[in-house]
Amino acid sequence: MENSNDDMAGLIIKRFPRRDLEASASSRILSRLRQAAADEARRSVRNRRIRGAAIALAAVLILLAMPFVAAIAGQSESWFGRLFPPTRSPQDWNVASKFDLRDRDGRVVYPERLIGIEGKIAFLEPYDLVANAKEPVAKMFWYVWGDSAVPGTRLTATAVSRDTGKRFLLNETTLNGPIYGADAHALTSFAPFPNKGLWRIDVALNGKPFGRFVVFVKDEYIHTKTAKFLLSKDDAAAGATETVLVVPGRGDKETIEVRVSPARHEGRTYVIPFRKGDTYGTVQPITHYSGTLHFDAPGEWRIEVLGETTNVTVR
Amino acid sequence: MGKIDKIEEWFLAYGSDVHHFLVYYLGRSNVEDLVQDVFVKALKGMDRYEGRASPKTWLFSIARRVALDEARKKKWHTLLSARIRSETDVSRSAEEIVFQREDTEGVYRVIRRLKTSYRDVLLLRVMQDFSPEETAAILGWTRNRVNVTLHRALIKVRELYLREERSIGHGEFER
Repeated sequence: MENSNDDMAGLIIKRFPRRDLEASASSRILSRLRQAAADEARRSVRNRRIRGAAIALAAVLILLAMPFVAAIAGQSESWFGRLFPPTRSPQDWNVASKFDLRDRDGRVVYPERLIGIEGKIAFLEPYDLVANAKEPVAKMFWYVWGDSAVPGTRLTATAVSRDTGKRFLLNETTLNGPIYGADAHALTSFAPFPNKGLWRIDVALNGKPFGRFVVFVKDEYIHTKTAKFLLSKDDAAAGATETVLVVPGRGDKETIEVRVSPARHEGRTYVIPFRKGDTYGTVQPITHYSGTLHFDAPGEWRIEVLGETTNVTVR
Repeated sequence: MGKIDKIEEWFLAYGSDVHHFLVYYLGRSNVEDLVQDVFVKALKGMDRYEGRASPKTWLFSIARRVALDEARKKKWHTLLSARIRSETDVSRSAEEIVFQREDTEGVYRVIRRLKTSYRDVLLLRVMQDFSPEETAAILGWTRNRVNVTLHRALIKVRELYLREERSIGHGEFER
């Protein structure tokens, strides 16, 4: 930085506005880190145990004469029970980690898209679970592994909110046969989660508790009285975000203007065109418009679309 | 102190810095998953860390690799979406993401067009304020290379910025 112009560039770069992690993102990451650490610890304990068990077994085999081997083998099952305790379901509110859906040969079908208990029960996670929204949970796949995964089994899932304690019936369905690497599956729709936050999903098979895990549900979509953006309030971030605006009707306009203006601070107002896409449904048709929402900076912003307004807090 | 305690401590101390860095490195706001990736990688690689570098420079060397991988993955996607955007929409660009002041925005727009080594050194040495030694440790360069590259990068920024200033109004901008 020898001459003043170079210095000026340096100063400007130093002055780039801070983009810190917001608190809710921090706590989500922390919780996933704890989960990752726990998984890692469990793996290393299991490896140690496998090594220990192998040495113990070898020692036993060497020490004992052949006629006794059968008797020892009978006992070794209870040993194994103690050496490999069944995987525990989460008792706390750590969000379940995601894992791959693999086929019978172990090839990855969907990387890191399953959420639940690996090797037991999981569903294919939509990219986001969003409060009060049917769209993300309209088409859901359950996958079940193990002896309980019998076609015809009744699967019942209830969800309980950490914040409110509220419980509701998330889904009830019947298992079908094997698919990919799973022993049973079901294609179904979930009831929408009524509010954002952590939800524990308790799954029962034929009325018997089977497994539980925790998921994170984002805040509801940004919406006015009649129109909504397929963008969670949690994802309203400074900058440009491509999104879809859902409007009731067949879409008589080719373009809808969305006005974005600062609610409580000085700043520019943007008029953003959203362009008509596909229309869905016949009885109550809706039309998708796509565009890019844009907020200059964090803070409170007003969005106006089709004569209706809503405020949103941008992080 | 267990691994998880350590990683939590590092996350609380440097998580926001890593976030800040990734936002500017990639020019997008939604980098939460990548921040998480950085710390999960650090957790898994902690046995190899052995305190050779400061945790912060080590985390940033991971963050930069994660960002480069992400940029590679997104390359085709971005090329495609940039084309679509240019056909349909001229009002916004990635550079407008965080800025209110025009000078800042212009300089950032220039940085995003620089070659990787220039961007690396500007964002680490200048924006994140790492010392030449720390920057060298993150990038695996010598201290001298950091200084020389920084010098050239700043000259390039000035040159491109001035050229852009001259062509303002049309957004025409040559490399």
